[in-house]
Amino acid sequence: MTAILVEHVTKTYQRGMGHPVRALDDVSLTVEPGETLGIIGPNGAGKTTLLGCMLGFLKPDSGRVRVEGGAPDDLQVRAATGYLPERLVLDRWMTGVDFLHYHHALANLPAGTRREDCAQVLARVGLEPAQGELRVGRYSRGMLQRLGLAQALLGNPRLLFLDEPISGVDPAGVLLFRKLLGDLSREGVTLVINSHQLAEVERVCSRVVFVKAGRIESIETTRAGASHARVLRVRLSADTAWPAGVSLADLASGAGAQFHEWVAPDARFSVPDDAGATLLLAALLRAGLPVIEVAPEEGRLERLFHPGGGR
Amino acid sequence: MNRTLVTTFLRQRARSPMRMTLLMLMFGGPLLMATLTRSLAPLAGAAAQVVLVFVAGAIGQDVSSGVLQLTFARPVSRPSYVVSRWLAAGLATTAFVLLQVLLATLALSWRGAPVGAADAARIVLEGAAMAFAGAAVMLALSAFVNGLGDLGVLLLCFVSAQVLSMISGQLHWDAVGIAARFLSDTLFPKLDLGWLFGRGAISWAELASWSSTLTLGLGVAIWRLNRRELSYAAD
Repeated sequence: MTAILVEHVTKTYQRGMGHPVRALDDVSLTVEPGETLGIIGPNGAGKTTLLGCMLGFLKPDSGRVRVEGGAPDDLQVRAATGYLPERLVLDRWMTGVDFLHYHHALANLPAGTRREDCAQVLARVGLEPAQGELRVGRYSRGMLQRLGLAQALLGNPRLLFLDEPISGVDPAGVLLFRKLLGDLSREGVTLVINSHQLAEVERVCSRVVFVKAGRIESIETTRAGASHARVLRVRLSADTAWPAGVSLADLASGAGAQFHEWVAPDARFSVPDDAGATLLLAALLRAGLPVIEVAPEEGRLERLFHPGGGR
Repeated sequence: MNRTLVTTFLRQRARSPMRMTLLMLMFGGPLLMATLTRSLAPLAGAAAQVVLVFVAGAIGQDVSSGVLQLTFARPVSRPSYVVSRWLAAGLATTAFVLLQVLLATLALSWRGAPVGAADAARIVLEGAAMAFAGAAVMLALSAFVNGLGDLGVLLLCFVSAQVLSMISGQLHWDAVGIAARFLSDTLFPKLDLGWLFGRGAISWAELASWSSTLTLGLGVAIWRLNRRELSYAAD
């Protein structure tokens, strides 16, 4: 069964007395069980509306959304779902542990394991027990994000919806979140991540949906999901002389790559996939070229945001 | 009904300094008056204000703060959320009135003016009736307006009822007077339970009016919340 099915969903908002704004326009999408899907797009593109429809907070004008075969606001679906909102708003008088206990109870999880379950998720997101006893009003943005994720993990959900999960998180937190999301993905949890952090999305997600003006402009398979073509920038040392008679174009074509240009000290090549990148690098080194740095020229996802960058 | 929602709502209210201050004033003031006047009369009708303190913004504040999204991301039905808030506000107000009446009864006995059990019980029961129906009305308003807007709407309706009543009195327009009374009774639904204590006959019309106000209030709150989209889409 498909984990999430979005079929021809259209959603329009009436903003004040003005013309209605079409936030989603005939959007269709499927998410398979265990998949990690990223949703990216410029501000106002409709990403949050799409997430809201998947969560059952918003009702589409037309089309339908199914989560594990049921309506997204079905209580059984909700019991299998975890959600981390972009801005975690909670009663400031609660302690972190109070907040987790509250959600543990709302999720109808067994009261007997409440203390243990909450301590477990708190540890999983890297919050100390003493931090759990603090009032949430004293939490930093990063701690709130961690607490929010801990809340979403309660009850080991099969589906997780994360809205800007690493926003405001410190570098150590980013590493922890990255590892955690990888672990969850390996455990078979279906993840839907709405984020502006393109590098993280590319790193964590197997597929990325690019939403623009309420429509899905493209669906990209990322490095995390599969090997893909990209442009490599290869920097050669200016201090070391090249072997005589070396042609970058010949070396590239011999390795199944394509040479674009040489602008000292960088050469640009297109490679078909990860294996192609390895072959090209090996060929350059075999030819005795003084390679000092190799880097992908630009994240593929970033290109989508440039005018004409989408398909 | 969801026990977690009931207890958390009450804890949330107890953490509000403004609400607690108002409740203390509402508790101590009438209690002092009752002791001075050697009568429980100052306690009658207090539930109408007390329930407002408990229930104001019960839904609207959760909507405007954004807390509601996370609550409804859990397996919690919207009718259960409304009913839990209604029960919490009704029970808390009833407990408040009960404690107030108990203390007043003790104080009056101590001052040599003992109170009949029937009188005390009547004030508590009528307070409970007012609390549960009033909470239902306020929840209906709170489901429509964000924050504490329900209090504003209530005040507006109350002032309108007073103006209509004045107009009716001045111009002898009976229809306007009926409308003013209807509006006032809807905002503050009272139930005279004297008949339970052998004072007067039961008023079926009043009982029907009270129960229909309560049911309609809860029904409207649930209907409105069911239709309400939890939009935070400013992406």
